[in-house]
Amino acid sequence: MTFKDVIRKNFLGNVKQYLSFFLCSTFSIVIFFNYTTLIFNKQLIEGENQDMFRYVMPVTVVGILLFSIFFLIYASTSFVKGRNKELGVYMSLGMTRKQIKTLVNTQNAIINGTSLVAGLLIGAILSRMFQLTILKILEMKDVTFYLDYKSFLSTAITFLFISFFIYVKTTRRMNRMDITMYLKEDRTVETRPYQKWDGILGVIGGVLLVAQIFVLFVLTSNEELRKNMGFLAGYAILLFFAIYLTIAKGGRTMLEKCRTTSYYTKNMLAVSTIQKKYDQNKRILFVLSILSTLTIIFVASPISLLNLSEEIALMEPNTIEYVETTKENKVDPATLKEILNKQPVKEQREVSFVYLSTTNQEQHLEASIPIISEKDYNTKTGNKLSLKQGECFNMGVDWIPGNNGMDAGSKITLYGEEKDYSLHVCSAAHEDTFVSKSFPSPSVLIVNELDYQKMYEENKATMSGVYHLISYEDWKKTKPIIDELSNYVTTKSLPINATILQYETLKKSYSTFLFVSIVLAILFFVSGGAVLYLRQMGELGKTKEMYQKLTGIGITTKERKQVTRKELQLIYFLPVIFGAFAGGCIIYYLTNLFGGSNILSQFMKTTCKVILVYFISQMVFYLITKRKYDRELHSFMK
Amino acid sequence: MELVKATNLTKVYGEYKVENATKALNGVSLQVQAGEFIGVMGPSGSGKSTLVNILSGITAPTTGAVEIEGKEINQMDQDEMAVFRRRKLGFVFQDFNLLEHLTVKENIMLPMVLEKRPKEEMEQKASAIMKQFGIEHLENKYPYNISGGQQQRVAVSRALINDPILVFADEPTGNLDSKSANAVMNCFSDINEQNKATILMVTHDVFAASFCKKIIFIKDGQIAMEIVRKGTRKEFFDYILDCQAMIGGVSNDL
Repeated sequence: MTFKDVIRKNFLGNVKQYLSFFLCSTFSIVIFFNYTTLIFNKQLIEGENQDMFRYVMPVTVVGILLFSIFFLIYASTSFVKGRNKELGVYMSLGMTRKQIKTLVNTQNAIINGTSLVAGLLIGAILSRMFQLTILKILEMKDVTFYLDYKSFLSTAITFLFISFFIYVKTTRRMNRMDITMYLKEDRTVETRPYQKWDGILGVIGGVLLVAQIFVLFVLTSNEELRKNMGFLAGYAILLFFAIYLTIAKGGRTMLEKCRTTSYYTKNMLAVSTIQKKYDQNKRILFVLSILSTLTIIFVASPISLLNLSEEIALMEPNTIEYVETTKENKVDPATLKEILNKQPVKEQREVSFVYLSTTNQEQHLEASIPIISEKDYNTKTGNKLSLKQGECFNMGVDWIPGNNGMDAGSKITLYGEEKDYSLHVCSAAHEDTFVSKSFPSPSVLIVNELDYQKMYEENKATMSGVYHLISYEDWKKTKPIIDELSNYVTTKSLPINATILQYETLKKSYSTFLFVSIVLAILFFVSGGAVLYLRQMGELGKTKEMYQKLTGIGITTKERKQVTRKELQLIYFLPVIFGAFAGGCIIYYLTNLFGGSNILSQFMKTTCKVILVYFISQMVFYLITKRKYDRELHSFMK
Repeated sequence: MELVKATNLTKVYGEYKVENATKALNGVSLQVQAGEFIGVMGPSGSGKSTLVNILSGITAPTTGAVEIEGKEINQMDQDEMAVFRRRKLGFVFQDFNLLEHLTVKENIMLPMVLEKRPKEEMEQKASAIMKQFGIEHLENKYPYNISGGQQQRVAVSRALINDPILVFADEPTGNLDSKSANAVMNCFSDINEQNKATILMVTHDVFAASFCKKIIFIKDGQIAMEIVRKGTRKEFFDYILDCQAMIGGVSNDL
């Protein structure tokens, strides 16, 4: 027998463990490869949804890549760790470190190589079905299936890079091998001693966690605070920090304090087993809590938005909003009237405006801001705004947080054809009751009537326009009107803003968002479940040893299953609970930030449903793992 | 009172391939009376560990029957046997088999925990038994923090916590130095004399065997000889050596 035979026999002896690592690797490669086929499909990248594919797809691929890295590193680390004793025995028999590294690295190279080939092959076979399914979901009838050699190349290079990284990590680990440490591994306990600080930090974590609810309400009830991105980031960091403290320190403290209670006496085996593994499990629990949070956010948000497409579209203040200026989008009034009256009109209004530049350079629409009189504003909205001369109200009309650099109390200068105008911004707020985005400015300024008249007179020749604001009885039937009106649109800067167009765009965007998010969410979910499964199966050897010791004492099948049930329930469901809490909080925050209270209930209802589905899915994962675990133990005990 | 009755026990490993079959036990019958301290000795591969595993219900015989307190243990299913084992039997292993993540006290209490006994009762019994074996100062330590001799005394304490009718010991001194072995065997003697515990011990260690009251020698899967202690332990020790020498080779070699 030669050393090569040792590698081969060792490989065959560990085939079951290799299989799970091989499957994880292949799965990641297939998913990654299929996503790259979308990126390299020229028709998609250069088509009408190019922005979406150019920006969103790479984000998805990066997300998949990051999780492939995390997932494969975790799988390979737990796989190598599970062989410590075996490697210790080889070392005790005289195998050098170099030979051990050759053994492990050769076997890893075989698995990585075969999984890359298998992943590319399976990916190529499935790519047609994958692409056509996506194109059907996104209603892209003009795009055909396309497979580029770049998909193969990019996937191969990426995963070879990951394999190299794993090789470096494994080699470093094996350089620190110590024979006695490996052989005695099963005699040591992995938990570090409990310290007083654990209890204090645990309490802080719990208090912080509960406090997040109050902080959430404080932040979301104050517009200034809630629209500050720094607060959002800070809130998220604090939330996850609180979760970490609660899991790591609070959990540890609870297990330690539990030892003095009668509950511990009745459940000694289960609790002591959980405590034994807790220091290692706490990291996984925390990571899985983050994964759960992201899964819930990524699924609940797009579903809510999709369901709210109509409601969000109906937030448009007008069914159709058409802007004419002195130079663009000109329509004969009679023709316009004829077009607009093709459907029963509920309300129609024309509002004149001037648009002044925000820069002292060449005038163009994108750098201009429309200005409307307070009289027209009050007539349309029913408000009673009263401004002094020289003052203005900054009305935000886009969903971008902030006041576009024109906060209340600031002074702004606007540049007309020949004169400049200085205005004091006396207030700033977002409103969706007047106009929307038919003019390329995120804000509209409302000024005193006299100021407006002066500005209009001085700039009407070249920098004035009219908002045509129409509300219809049935917005869903306005598409033909818009199609006809489109013939008169002369610049992309002044598009027709219509409820039905918004609705269609939202639906399409949210469908894409949903598709991308759901894939990421499924990936997070599957990764999380696989990590737990791998971890449990990796621990199976030690668990079998423990139950073998208990055979002499006498433990029934039911008692054994109770112990494994408690252990598995903790690691499968605790992250879901924390994830649900964190996901719910973040969605509440984001909904308030972007949409306000009118869409909040829909978001929160959808979030609750998503949490329920997630819980049920996790239950399935738990039952599969438990069944396999119990079966393995049962056949061993027999 | 007859505690254990084994009738015509055989154990064959690899029975489906007749040419590879190993007959570990070949028609062994024995009785154990209450309060006996019996040692089972024999050369390697003689079947002594197999015999103890069958008598304790850990392994099923190929043929034959075992009755403990009149109950035929072969008729019990796995769970019934597990419950019977923890209520009626105690087991001491060569490699201690303590759970590393439980303290000494918790390891001792474990059989009572599985029996769902009240906490106060468990605490009381555990304290008493630790005191009996001089390990009360170790109660909050973990197995990896104590010596082999101390671990084995913990294992003995665990075996006795539920007041078993019968204690099985499989090479209890196999992993111990002579001083620790002496301490453990004195424990066995004490529980046999003071607690009237019935002990069946497998050993190849003549020193350990000398503490027994009766020795059964097994050779080639059958009971070759039985001897009973009549004089001092030293005399019994010499007698065992002589018997072992006789049993150890082919009989007409002498």
